[in-house]
Amino acid sequence: MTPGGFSIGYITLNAGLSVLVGFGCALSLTIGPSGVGFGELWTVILGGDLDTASLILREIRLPRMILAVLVGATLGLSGAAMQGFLRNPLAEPGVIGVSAAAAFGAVVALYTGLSAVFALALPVAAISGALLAVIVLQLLAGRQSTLTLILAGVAISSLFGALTSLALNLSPNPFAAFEVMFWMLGSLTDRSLMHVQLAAPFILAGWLILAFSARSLDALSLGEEAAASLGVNISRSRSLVVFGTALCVGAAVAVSGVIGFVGLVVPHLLRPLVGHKPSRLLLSSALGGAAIVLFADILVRLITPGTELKLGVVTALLGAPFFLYLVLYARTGRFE
Amino acid sequence: MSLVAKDVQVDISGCAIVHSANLTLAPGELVGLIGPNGAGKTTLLKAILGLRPPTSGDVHINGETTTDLSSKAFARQVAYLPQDHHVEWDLTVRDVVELGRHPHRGRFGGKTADCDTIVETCLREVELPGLADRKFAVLSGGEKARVLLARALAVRAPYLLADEPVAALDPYHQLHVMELLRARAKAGDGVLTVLHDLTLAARFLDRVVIMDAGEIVCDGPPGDVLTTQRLESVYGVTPLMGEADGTSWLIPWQRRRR
Repeated sequence: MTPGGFSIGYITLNAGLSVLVGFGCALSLTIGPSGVGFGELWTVILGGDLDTASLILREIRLPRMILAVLVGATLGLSGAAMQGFLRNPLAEPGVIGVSAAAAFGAVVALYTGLSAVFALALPVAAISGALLAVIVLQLLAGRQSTLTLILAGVAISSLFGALTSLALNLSPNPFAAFEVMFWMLGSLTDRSLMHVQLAAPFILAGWLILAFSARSLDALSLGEEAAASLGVNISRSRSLVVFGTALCVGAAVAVSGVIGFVGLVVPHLLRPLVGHKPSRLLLSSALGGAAIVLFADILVRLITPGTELKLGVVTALLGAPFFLYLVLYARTGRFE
Repeated sequence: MSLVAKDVQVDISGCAIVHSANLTLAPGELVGLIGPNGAGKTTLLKAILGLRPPTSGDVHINGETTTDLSSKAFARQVAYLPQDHHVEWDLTVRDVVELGRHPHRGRFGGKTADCDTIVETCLREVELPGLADRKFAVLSGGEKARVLLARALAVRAPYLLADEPVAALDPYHQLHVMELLRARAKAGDGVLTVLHDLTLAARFLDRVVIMDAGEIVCDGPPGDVLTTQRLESVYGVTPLMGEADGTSWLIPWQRRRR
């Protein structure tokens, strides 16, 4: 134990994950169909100007890399916070309905053609959707029990899912429906630094709010009443977790679409490595989420260079079997 | 210096669960709150803790109204041992006991310098030294109960409120936990515990407070309060009494014939 109370193992884990994220960032900048690689990257970093190469790096790969880190860390962090607060290892950031609401906001922008008029209409609409969901959630379950929060979240999730289906159902032409469906699969392709600028403030604000909930998550392992008797304000913690998640996940969905399983699997995977303590899981899970989304996003560029697989499809394809593996091994006790 | 509940009333959906209760807990005494199921014992305990704020009346701690204290300042004064033995996540005993230090920590501040020492001391107090690095989940029921008691003791609060700390424990551990509570009182803490076991109540408590149908019906030393007549009227049970080792004992013997 160090004086700060963090074990050597915990510091090593986070250092290792940080190196992984750094490595992922470097690969993310140097892998792509244009063939711009490490050599060109190095020249550009040293201040050399290579016209097309620097253009590709700055305008195409850099935003994509930054967004992969922001979105991945958001999913990992909010998944860990949500599981800690709800004391349920099956919780994920979408459980309170913000992902579905953000997706619906985006669908409205696509559907009405607003997104064709100006590019940022889509993320703005998505963030508005997420904020709308969290307001409804607070009205329904603000002072109620945690169970009410989950039930209200499920209701909101289903409602916005249904509204999205309605939009698809009433779609005037198949192309509009295709556009919506492809967007919903989740991807980081062709995002600009404008997307980064728009989403980053919301995402960073969300992270900060979630960080404030960390200590109360530990106390909540004893149950709500014991935590309250230790000075934890339960409704305040709930507001922190709900608003923090809504801000960062709403903004993440706004720029990437819905990317599944990261928020569920990453906290699961890392929990035994941080000694199961909810507060310690937050940072590690954020780093782990960033690493996984970075590498998944590199993977989609490599496996099918022609028609890129959507990122959300890949995370779900890899995540679902892996989750099943975790469940089976955890149940027989062999995984722990 | 005392923890005082004054005219505490708790209404739940229009029904008075606790009716105008007055209770004082002084440092150094082990007080038991007893009474039949549904008498309002746990509700009164939670009202004192502020977990279920009283409908009317208030709670004072050393002369200060508890609602004037911040939740952390109150938590540093009154520790609570819930009945529930469940701990979420696969934490170690050290992590669990350390949670008792929560009211003493800042939002982002690390552990206080004395944290490790306090964890060790509390584990020694409950006679589980050297168990800190074991997983809580693999402990026996009796060990879990004592670790959670150590967690409450780690708050180092002058008052401890325990809700049925011996429920679901075998006789050996029941005696053990009661001895530990008595030791805390001897060390100067004010300890209030909800109890169902009349034998343990007669044996260990300095004072017995009996609740019936939401009201405190009597409050005094076990010898004065736990009389055949009162137990028959409150519990509908006739006790068997005697003396051993210089103290009196009591067993609930048979249901009173109606």
